[in-house]
Amino acid sequence: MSLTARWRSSLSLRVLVFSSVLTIVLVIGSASLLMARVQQGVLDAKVSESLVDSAVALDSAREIIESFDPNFAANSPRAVVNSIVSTLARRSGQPPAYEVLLLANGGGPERSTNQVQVSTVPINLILEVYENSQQFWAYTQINYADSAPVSGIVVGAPILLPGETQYGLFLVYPTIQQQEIVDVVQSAIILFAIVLSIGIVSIVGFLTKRITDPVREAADTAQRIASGLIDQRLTVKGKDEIARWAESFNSMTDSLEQQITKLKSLSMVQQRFVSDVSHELRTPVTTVRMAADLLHEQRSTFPPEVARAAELLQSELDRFEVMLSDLLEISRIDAGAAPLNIARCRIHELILETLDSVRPLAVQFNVDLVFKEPSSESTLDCDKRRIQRALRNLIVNAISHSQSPSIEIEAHLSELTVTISVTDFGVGINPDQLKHVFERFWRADPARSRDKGGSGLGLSIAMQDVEQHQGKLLAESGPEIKGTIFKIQLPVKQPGISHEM
Amino acid sequence: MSVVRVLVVDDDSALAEMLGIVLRAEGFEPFFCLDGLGAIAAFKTNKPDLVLLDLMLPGKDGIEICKDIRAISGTPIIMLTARSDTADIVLGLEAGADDYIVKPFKPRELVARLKARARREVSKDIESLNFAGLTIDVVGHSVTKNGKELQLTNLEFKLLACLLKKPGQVFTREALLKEVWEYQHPADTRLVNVHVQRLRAKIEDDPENPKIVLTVRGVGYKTSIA
Repeated sequence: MSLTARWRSSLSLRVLVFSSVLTIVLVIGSASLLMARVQQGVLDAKVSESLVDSAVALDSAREIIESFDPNFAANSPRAVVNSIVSTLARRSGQPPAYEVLLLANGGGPERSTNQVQVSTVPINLILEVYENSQQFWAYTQINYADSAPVSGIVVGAPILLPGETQYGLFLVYPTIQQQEIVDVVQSAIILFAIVLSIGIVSIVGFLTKRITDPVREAADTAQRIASGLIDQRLTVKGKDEIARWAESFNSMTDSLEQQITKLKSLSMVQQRFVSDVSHELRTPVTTVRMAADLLHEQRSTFPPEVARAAELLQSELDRFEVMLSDLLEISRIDAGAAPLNIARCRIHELILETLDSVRPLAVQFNVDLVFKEPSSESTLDCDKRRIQRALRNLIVNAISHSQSPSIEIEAHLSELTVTISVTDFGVGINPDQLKHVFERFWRADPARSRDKGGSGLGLSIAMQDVEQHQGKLLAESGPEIKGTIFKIQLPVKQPGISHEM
Repeated sequence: MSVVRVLVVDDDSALAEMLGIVLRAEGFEPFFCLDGLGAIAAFKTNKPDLVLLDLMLPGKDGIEICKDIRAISGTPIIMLTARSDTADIVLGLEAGADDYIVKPFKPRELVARLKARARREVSKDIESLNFAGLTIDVVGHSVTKNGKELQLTNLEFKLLACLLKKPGQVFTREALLKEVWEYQHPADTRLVNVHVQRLRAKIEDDPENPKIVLTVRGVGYKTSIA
């Protein structure tokens, strides 16, 4: 199944994907917010601590400047700078709580501890300090000349050395510890976010499955029921809404099944009745038949009216017998008790034999039977008796009802199907009536054609015979065709038939 | 030939009476039995040449009667049945009936069948045949196997003689129906199948694995040439 088709057909897949995306977005969002807040909290403390500390350091730097003789200090600023930096560095302790940078605004000696680079102090901060003569701070990256940079906070304040030289005293506080805390918290948050996402997605998946599984089961069961397995039911678990739904589904199927069984048994009773009646009639009909035959043979010795009565008795008995056997056949087909006896047979032979059997009737009605023989010889898998009966019924129907002077029988052979057509050039059947020709006991003109004989079941038996072979029986008639064409379409091969002849 | 005696076993008295009228008109001599229980007794007292047997009878059904008659005699039996579609027909044939006719039938058809079954003679162009331990005396109407006489019915005898007249030639079931049963029109080929089986049960050493009457799949039967 393609991905789109699966997407459309699976509700649980859609729910799962939607809820996963939503969960992941929410978790990532709240985790980053949380992380930012933690970082902020930890660093804020460090910043205020650093500001206090640097203010103290600034004071001690100013004290050092004042302790120098102003003249000496003005002449050797380097000594002052060295003294400030080394004093503050001492104060910083080991390992140092901060690094010191003493930068001159203009010319003058500069110094820093532990080879901290000037680039550590952002240029903006330097400018702010010089212009505003106040304490300022910023986050930064501490660049060393000989080791890897670390993150930190830089606090700067202006300081005036003797000789009116302006300097900036910058104290750089590394935030390695704070960063470590933030890192630990961060990985904890990430881990938590992953666990939470997986948890939520699997809970959603599980719940969706809990709901869609019964729906899917019900759909499958309904399909099986539709295909005729009426005894299929849903399993009812627990007492929740889904269980109640399954119960109602089952009780609906129960009542359907009851109805179907009832109808089935009714129709079986009816079929049984038709079959029994037909059989019971056979013994008395045999007696009547023999008596009628006897009378018929002696009719030349009877007065004319009685002789005619004997003839009518004989011919009507023929009709009665045809009707009886057709009725029986229909009831057998209805009961599904007429299995096909399929064998491979030659189409040519099948048609010729059928024509032989209807020829006497054709002669009686003065109708020409024309067989347009196919050029090639071919075979067909069928119950020969049943197909011959269907074909015979079509021909007999054409002979007795079409008023056509001739009837054409033709076979069209293709690789997969055989079409045998019976064409007459007679009165035709109008489209309204054509719909009904295969109905039982249907007659085109009830008032007139009853005396033409036949049971009224012939075409519907033919229909059953052909359909049981997975074939089609078609009728065409209309203004563009003179007369009527009946076609038997049959598959050349029936499943499960060996190829022996 | 003397008058052919026909035993009619049918519980429908009107039909039986009518059959009597028709049979007498055709020169048969009918006897009647109206229920199943008395059928064997009637058969023994009247010694008929033919039996016309309804399948559905009160007391004892036609198939049982058929078996009982076969146990004591090879007299031709024709079954009368109202159903052409049931297993009853095959059961009846297996029980030993030679032929069957479905109600309602035309009297002419019934008479033709009765006459065909009543004829005992086989074409006399050969007087006797020897085949795989079988000796068939066509004139004396008897078959012996390894010196022991076999009890074949008239029909089985005709079937065997027909197949043996042309050893190795394949007979279709339709041809056998025409030749042995004397049908002019296509009829039920189950008749042939069942009777070939009954014949094999009598003449073959192992009926499951026949050596004399062989099946030619999809066509019919033949006798082996050797």
